[in-house]
Parts: sequence; C-alpha cells; structure tokens
Amino acid sequence: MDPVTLGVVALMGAVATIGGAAEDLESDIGSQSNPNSQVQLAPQMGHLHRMINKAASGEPVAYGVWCGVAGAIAYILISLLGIIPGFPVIAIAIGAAVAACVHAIYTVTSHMGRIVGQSQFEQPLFMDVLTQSLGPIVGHGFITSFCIVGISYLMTIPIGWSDPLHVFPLPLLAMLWGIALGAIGSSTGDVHYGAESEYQKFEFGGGTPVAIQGDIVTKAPLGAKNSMDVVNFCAKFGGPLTGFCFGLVVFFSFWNTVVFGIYGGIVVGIIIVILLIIMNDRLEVFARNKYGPYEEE
Amino acid sequence: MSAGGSADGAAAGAVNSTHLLIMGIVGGLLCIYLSGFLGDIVGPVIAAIGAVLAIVWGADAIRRVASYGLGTGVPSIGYMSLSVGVISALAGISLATILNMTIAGPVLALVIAIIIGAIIALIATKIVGMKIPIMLQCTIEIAGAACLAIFAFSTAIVGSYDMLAIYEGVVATGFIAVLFIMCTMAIQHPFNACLGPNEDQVRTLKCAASTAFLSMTIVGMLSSITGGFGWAIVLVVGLIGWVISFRAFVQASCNDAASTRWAGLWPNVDE
Repeated sequence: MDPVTLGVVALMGAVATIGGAAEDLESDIGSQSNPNSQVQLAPQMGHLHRMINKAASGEPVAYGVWCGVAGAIAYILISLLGIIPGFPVIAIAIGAAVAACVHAIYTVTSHMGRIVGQSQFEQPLFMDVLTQSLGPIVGHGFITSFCIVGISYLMTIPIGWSDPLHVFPLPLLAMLWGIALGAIGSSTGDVHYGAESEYQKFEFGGGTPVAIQGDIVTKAPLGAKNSMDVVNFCAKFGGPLTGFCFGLVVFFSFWNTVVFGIYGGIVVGIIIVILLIIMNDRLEVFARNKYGPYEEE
Repeated sequence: MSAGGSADGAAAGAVNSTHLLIMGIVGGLLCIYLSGFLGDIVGPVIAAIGAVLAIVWGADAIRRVASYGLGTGVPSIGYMSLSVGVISALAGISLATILNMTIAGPVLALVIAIIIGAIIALIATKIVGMKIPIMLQCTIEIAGAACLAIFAFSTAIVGSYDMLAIYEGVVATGFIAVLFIMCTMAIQHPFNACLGPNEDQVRTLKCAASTAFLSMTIVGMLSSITGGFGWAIVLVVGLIGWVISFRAFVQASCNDAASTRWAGLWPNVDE
C-alpha cells in the first residue's frame, strides 16, 4: 500500500463529493431529467409558470458533453504547456470555462425551444427567468466540470511511486466519469426533493404518477414560484446526498485496489457489493414495514 | 415525457426531408473528399462543414422518427446511432486500409453504418416489437449521419482520412469519445429541445445548425493539437456560423412565442 496514492484517492473522493452535489443542484435549477422534468407539461395542464425548462437531453449525455469538452480542452493545454508547475490546474479551469459556455448555450436553446413549443397554451417566454437562472446553472456546471476533470487528471498522472491509476487518455476518462455522474445525479438526486418541491401539493412520498405529471405548484409564498425556490429546497438533502453517493463511487473504485492489490481488490470489491445489496434490502424491508405500501385515496 | 410530437404521426415540414438527406450524404461525402485535396489550411474547414451538413440531416431524421412520441427515447436513439457512427467510421477506414484503398474509406464507413443501422432497426421492429413505421429508414439515416459527422470531424482534426493519422490524432488522444458524445448532443438536442405541439421544422433546423456549428467551434479548438493554422480557421468559421444560426433560432423563438416578457406574471387564461 502506497500512502501517497491512498491520500490522493481520498482527495478524489472528496472532490467528487463536491462535484456531485453541484451537479444535482444544477439539474434541480434547470428542472432537468425525470421526475422533475415534467415542467413542459404544465401549460397543457393549465399551469402557466416561471420555471426553467432545461431539457438538454438526460443528465448522463449532458454531463458527458460538458465534462468531455472540458477534459479535451484541458488535455490540449496540458500537452502544450504542462511543464509549467501548477499549470494543469489553470488548464482544467480553462477547460471547465469553455464547457460552461457550451452549457449556457444548450440551456438557452432548450429553454426557449420547449417554452415556444407550448405557445398554443399561452405560456409566455420569460427572458428574465432565463437570465437570472443562467448564472447559477452555469456556475454549478463549472464547479462540476472542474471537479470531474480534476479527478480524471489525477487518474492519469503517476502519483508517488505508483503508476497512474488509469491508462485511458484524459478526454475519454472525463467523458466517462461525466456520464457516470449524470447517471448518479439522475437516479439519486431526482428522487430527493426536486419533484417533491414542484409537486408539493400532493402527499409526500407519493412519487409523480402519470396522472399528475405537469400538475405543478406555480406560486410561492410571495409571488411566482421559480427555479431558485426549487434549488433552495434541494440544497439541504438532495444535492449533498448525490455528492456523497458519487464520492463513495469514486473512492471505492480505487481504494480497494490501492490497498489490497489487483486480485485482493477484486475480492474486496465483490464483498462491498454484497454488503451494499444486503444493506439496501434491510433498508427497504424496514421502510415497507414501518410505512406500509403507498395507498391511493 | 409524452409531450413529444405532433398528433398526426409523421412530421411534415416546410423543408423536404429528401433534400436534407441528399444534402447530408452528398454534401458530407463531398466535403470529406474535397478536404483531402485542399491542404492543411482550407481542408479542415471544408471537412467540418461536411459534418455540419450531416448533423442537420441527422437532426431532421431524429425529428421524423421522434414525432411518433419517442419522448425520453429521443436522446436514447441519438446515443445508439452515434455508437453505430463511431464503430462504422473506424471500421470503414480500417477496411479501406486493409483493402489498400484509402480513398474508399468514407464510402465504406457510410455503407457499414447503413448495414448496422438496418440490423438494429429490424431488431427493434421485428423482435422488440416497436410499432414505428419509419423506424427502419430513420435509424439508417441517423446512423449514416452520425458516421459522416464523426468521420468529417475526425478528418478536420487530423487533416486527412488516413487510418494511421486518425488513430493517432483522434483515437489515442481520446478525442473520439468527445466527438461521440458531442455529436450525440448535436444531433438529438434540436428536436428534444423544441418538441411540443407547436414544434416547427424550420425552427428545429435552425437549432440544429447552431448545435452543429457549436460542435465545429469545439472541434476547431481540438484540432490545434495537430499544429498549423487550420484549427484557427475552423474555429472562426464555426463561431461565425454559430452566431448566425443561434441568432436566427432566438429570433424565430421570440416571434413564435405566445408572448415574450422581461418581467411580470403570466396572463390570466383559465385559472
């Protein structure tokens, strides 16, 4: 076991936690991905709104693009000027900045396209909603791309006395981890409060069955409900939980092989997976016994 | 997500789909071949424009197939077809090198994409049982467009469609993954972004042109790794094309919106 590599793996887990949290909060501002993506059905249901509708694909493809672009730009800059000490950090930041611009452009096209696609229901195109949400969306996206390309870069360089953790080039790794993060943000983050905020008039825990899709809450305690209200609601649990999940995924992807070697690492990995399956099963059985099945009124 | 598509199934549009198909195939192939003769400065720009044409064609094909109510399947069919595109592009240039006919690479890649696309579509309709009448034609078209887009962007990055150059400059550097995901986004995003009962083909195609030129701008940055000044021209031409198409899309959206407001609440309709 190499203590320096282990320390770097721990750092990667911490960075991934920050990136994961930012990713989920970004998708909550943009009402991206299911189940909080049903904003586009709201005008048809008679609810005109002031929410952002950022339907830039699902989160996995979207984050594959942002992180892939950031990784590719960083890779070029590092291969040109990488010998300057500390330059890789600047290169990754420049890459993430370019990705943030791409992110902003896709956000604008998807919001405008979806709102105008509903124009027969008299849904106005609110430009102030777009401009005030664009900064938080792109800012969170920048943090995420920076974190993902950062951990991908740490995988590609030799650390301490060890070989690099991975042999793939930086752009490929950044894209793959971007897709992984998007998938985790979509599966873990969405079920924690994004939908609960938009569908807060329905009983908690009921999910979003097809019958209520688009039947969102459009008014806040003061004035119109907007996407900032949703992200404020999600910042307490949804974002950190997604970050924690992604951080653990990154950490356990490398910790077992760093500590136990390749073959020992595979065995430990299988044990971890079995333990997680048992824990999930216990948790679900506990929840079902305690709260019972969901009953329609 | 059942908001997708118009109620009448196959989406009619102001621009004839056959014209877009011809523009994509002939334009895409022609640009790739022309880039081989035009040298390191102009060649990459022409190749990248071929990719833009292919992406616009692919976006229209996505629009037609997704109008049957694919909904969340819009990104999925994009993902699937782009993977066909990557495999067929690499298989095409490899086969051309094995046959010792480098010049046949782009055509072979397109043919392989069509064959794989057809097999996938047949599996989807006959075995999986998807009831979309134009699934076969559209999957083939999207796979073909994906293949040409990947091929043309790879040519733009390394300045030739020689197998060794592409493997060194695009595959070994990992840019192939970025091209894959970026073209997926560029092809599937326009319809996914514009879907709804008031979707309009011309507006969607304006969005497609903007995503294609945006990808071209990024490819311009990526091609700086091979040196020379070709990359700067790709970047500048991509940026100009993006500004024009993005402006056209935003103007069309503002014109077609029920109303455009900078403040205030929604109108009282039926609440």
